[in-house]
Amino acid sequence: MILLLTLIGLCSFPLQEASSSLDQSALVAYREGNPAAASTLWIEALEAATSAQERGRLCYNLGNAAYRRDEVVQAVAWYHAALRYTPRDGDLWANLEFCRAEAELDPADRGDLVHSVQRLLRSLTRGESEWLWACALMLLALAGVGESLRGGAIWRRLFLGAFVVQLLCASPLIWHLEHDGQNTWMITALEGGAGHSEPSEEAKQLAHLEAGLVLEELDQLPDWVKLADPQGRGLWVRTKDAFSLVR
Amino acid sequence: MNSRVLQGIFWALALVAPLNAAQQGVSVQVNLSRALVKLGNELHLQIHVDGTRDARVDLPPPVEGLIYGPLAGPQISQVQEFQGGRVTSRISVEWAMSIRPTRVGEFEIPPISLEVDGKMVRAPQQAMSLRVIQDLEGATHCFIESLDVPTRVFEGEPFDLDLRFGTDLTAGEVDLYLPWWPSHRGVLEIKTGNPRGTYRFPVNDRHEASVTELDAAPRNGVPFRVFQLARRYIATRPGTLKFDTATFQFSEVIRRSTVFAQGRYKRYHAQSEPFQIEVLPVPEKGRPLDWTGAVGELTTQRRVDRRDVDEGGTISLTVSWFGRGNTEFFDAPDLKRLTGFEDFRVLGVEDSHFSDERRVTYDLVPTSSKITEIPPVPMWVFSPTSETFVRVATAPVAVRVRSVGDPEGGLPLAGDELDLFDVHPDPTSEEGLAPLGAGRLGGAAVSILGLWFLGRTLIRRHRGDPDAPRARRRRAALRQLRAALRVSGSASEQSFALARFMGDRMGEPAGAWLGRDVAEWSALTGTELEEGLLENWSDICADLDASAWSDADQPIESSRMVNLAQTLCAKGF
Repeated sequence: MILLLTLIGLCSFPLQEASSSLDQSALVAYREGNPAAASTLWIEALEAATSAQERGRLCYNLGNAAYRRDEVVQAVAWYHAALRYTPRDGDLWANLEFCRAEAELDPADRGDLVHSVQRLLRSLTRGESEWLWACALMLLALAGVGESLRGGAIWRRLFLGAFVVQLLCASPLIWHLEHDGQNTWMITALEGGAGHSEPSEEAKQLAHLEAGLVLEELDQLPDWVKLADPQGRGLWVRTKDAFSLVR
Repeated sequence: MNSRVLQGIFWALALVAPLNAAQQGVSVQVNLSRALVKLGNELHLQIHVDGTRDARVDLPPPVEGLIYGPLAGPQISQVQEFQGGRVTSRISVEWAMSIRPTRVGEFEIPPISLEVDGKMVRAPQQAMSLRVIQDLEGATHCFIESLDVPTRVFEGEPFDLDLRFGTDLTAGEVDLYLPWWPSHRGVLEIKTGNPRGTYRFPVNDRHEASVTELDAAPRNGVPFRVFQLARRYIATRPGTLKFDTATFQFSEVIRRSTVFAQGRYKRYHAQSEPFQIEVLPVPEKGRPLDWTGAVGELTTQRRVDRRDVDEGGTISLTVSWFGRGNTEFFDAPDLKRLTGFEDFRVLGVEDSHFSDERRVTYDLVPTSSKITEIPPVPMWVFSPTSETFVRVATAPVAVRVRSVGDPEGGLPLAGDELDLFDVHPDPTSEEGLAPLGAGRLGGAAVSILGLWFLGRTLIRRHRGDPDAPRARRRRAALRQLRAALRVSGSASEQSFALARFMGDRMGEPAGAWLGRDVAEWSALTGTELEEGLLENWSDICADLDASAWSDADQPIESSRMVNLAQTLCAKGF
């Protein structure tokens, strides 16, 4: 077992070294005003990254690089991809809203009640959401023990309160369970993307999808992805016109 | 034969009775409640099947000029009779359907098809005749008519339906029968914002409509009360809209209902002429590519919340389209696609509809200080009057956009203030909180609730309610003893505190433990206490008694009692 662990450690060490080297090279390229090269290197580093925090950081940097290449909608897409890993990063939200405004898209957080609740729900990562619920369940268990042994109105209220609290604490996890499985894409072509009935340029174009629209993936073929439009239809879009938000 | 035997025979006969009934013949009767009616009156088609419950009715074929109501039934009735020593059973099924004629004339209602005991039956043998005559008296006292109904409209064009009706009679009840109420295929009702009326009259026996009472008007020299039912509709598809005859029924009160007798009414009827409207499609010829579906005679106005704005600030431009048209149904212009708005960002659009007005508010952000006006907002409208497409546009709005931070003043320009936050250069090895597994947590939640329920049930079953006064006293006994000993200044008070402690623990009154011989109590109740503990307890009681009954009544060391109480609690007392 020790030998096996040593071997794994020896194998992973050069990988981490390589990833760090790619990151440094990308940073140098970015500072030297070569965002295209920086993007290529950061994408390679992203493929090797295992930590969620690191993936979020790399997606954020890729968003900056895309913006410096004047690909504003793609920068928006990278920031959205980073939100999955680092949902409470203030710089990320600021850059996202800045780029959405530059691209003439609606703000990601309008500040109304619905958006505020959504932002609150997704402000925790999947792991954090589960730990939050676990803590709430421990509170519920304690209140349950107290109610069983002591009874009385106060303990009953405490138990009911703990039950309500654990329901509230479960809501971020429910949101993650609902959304994490979805493979969403953003239309990044500046003039929008064409939604075809079949994965072919000759197929009839059923809809014009505006840039910045986020749609759920239904199917995928080489160079084509089938997305569910707001009316629920499945439309084939060229992958060059769209951007997968799951990175 | 005693009464029990007779009762048994009776029940046996009752059980056999359905067999007898099933063997009887089946008869079918279909008839009209009346063969001669005045126009406006309602009659009923009655269907009666005797001898079986297995019957089904097909709807009668439609007859032009007659409106069928819903088929009510089946109503099944079963009667058992005991006659002459035999129990007979009769079963019958009934249906009824209302019929309202819409014109004068002679009608033939074809036989009705029924499925009885699996066989198709047609009844009656010949068609049923119905004669409908004009209610001449009703036409004298009542009227109903449609005013200014257009003969043709365009798809999407609103039109008004103005139904006037009235009577010269005074006391009575009003009923309206409108074949096209409350909804008619091919039209949508639109709200006009006018007062909805002064009365609510029943329509088609199931609905209500708001009507307005107009000024009384003379007809043939007699003053009539006049009511108006006005509605505005939009035709939604090309074709012919048919509005059948409407009937106004006035039931004049001859005698009002009392507790002992039903009221008597005399009914008068009046009918309007049927009419139809031709709905034309909006012509393809000359239709602009950016026409968004507006039809009608519309005008437009604009309003802004401010004219002097900083670069990057927001101007709310409210554009309203008024007039007689389909204001609720067309698509408002998209400013992002209009020429002239390249230097504006459209942050949000708020779309609302008020009666004859469509109001759209655009939040515009001028991006350049060179902007001097908000350009006109044009929209193509199809005018049914001229049958052409008309371009309506708002007037431009002069605005001033100030550059934030005049370069000459040394302040930075607004555009230069905003930029991205820098990249994050430092790699992170933080893993964050590892997921625990939603399934496991879900299982834990269910387990917690299950264990809680099981635990509280078992605890209550074996130990009773933990919140009962006795249980609460038992739990608080030691605390109460400590508190009482802290403030007690004599052996008698200490003695009472100890007695109260034991009473609370054992569920007895405190007095039961005053002067009790603990060794004797232990032997009687079979509690297995150690010798040493019993001796200690007896000593404490003896010391307390000795001190209490002496003149000094000096308290003894309270820790002895606390230690004793703790030991007893630990042993489960």
